[in-house]
Amino acid sequence: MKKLNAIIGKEWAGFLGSERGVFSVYGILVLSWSFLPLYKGLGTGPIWWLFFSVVISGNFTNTVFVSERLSGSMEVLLTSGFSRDAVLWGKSIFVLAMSCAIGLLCIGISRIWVSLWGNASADGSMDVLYGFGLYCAGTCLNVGCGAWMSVRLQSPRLIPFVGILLMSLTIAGFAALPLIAPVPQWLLGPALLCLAMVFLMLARNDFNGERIIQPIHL
Amino acid sequence: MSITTVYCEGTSKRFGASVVFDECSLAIGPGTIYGLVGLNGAGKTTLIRVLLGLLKPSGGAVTVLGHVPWEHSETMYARVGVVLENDGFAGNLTIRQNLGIFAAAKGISWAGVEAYIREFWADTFVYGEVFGPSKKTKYFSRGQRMQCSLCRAFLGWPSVCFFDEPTVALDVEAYDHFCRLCRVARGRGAAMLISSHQLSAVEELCDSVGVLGNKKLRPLENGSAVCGGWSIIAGPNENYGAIIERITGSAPSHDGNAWHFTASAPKTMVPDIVEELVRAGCRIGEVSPDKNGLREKIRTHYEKA
Repeated sequence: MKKLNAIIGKEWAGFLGSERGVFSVYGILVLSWSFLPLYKGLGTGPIWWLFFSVVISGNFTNTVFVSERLSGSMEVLLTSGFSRDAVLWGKSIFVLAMSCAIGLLCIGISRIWVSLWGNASADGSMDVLYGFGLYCAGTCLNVGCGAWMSVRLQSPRLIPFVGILLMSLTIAGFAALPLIAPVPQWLLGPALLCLAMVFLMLARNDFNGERIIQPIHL
Repeated sequence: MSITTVYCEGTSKRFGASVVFDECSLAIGPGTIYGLVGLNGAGKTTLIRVLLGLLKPSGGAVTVLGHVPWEHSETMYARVGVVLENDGFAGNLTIRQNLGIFAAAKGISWAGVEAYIREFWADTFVYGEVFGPSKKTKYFSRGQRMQCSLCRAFLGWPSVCFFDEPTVALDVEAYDHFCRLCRVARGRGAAMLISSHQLSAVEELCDSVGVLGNKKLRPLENGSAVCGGWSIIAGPNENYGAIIERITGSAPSHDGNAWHFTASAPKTMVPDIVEELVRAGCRIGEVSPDKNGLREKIRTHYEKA
């Protein structure tokens, strides 16, 4: 547990030590995305939050998993006394926690805009909760997929695109399911979580293999 | 009974059909430093990665501190120090923060880190960075980053160290400091493997040397006495050669100008040889460590291979 905390602490300190521009980018992203709930005409409901999770967790995945592999520092980390599981879970928990915190912030700000200019009664607290739950589940999927892809892809620059593709396919597949059998909408979250677990297990498998130190290129 | 800290027997590594090295055997005991040399692309880094458990051996047995490296035991890694191609530091963090993370990985308290820095790094820039105002490691020069890597590698005085080109970019003082620390670690019983193209470092520090080439790891001829080559400028009198052979235990060679020999215990052997030669009427021009000894031996090794 101490080592897991040390990995999370390392990533947190690394994030705090980022250039100011990084915080500005996150700020702009949060602000711009927070206006989306005002546009009910888009008719997509909480699905937009899933794509926001792709953007946010994709950024964190790049910083946390990919940069470590690009610089080659992963092999030092893996031989320093941290277990491979601690490295994987520590990094995953950090990305998950940061993405969820930013999502929460975004939803909080969006509520302010809705109360000021939108129709608050039309967008109830249950919808907001469902949106946030979906965002968290989507983030789990992106973290798992990103962790695995950071090992598998020769060019990790593609991770956000793979994330978007995967999310689109999942949503499209889920949307197509009612054609076969009636499926309640709330099942999308658990489905995303199940997929996330699959990817995390794949990532765990690769973190314990040789691929983790193979060179990658941008 | 001596316990081998790093051991591999008949170890091979293949990537698909490509064989990096085959049937390599190696044993490093406590308190010894092993030099690993070889041409570029010979597989030195791959061998170190296999010994560290970063790569799975394709065949043969490997143990480090009694553990199979590929099982990735935390207990093993906690007693291992490494300097690899990359320094492994988080660029956004200071060296103080970075050392704190690696200390946590090895279960060393921050007080222990501070005591270590105070005792062994007091005259270096690392001390100022740890105890004074510090900057992010991404702003360090290459040499400074290497010093930080060495500082991390020796942290907690591990039982075994793997160094891949540890002297790259080190200035004269940092190089001397590294040599001092290696001797301290050896005195504390650490087994060390140094892979380097800087043969002076290998010659100065290593007790034995292995050459990786043609997919095989072979010890240099003369075994552990390969390092510690000396030359004495003196005439080619056969009696002088006999004196040197009697004291060192191995036959010296004469190149027309100087006698060349290896002394496994130079502190006692070299004065004895000088004393005996003078007594035998030899006029000695110069006594010096053989700077090109290892280089020549490796060259000869390759020619034979």
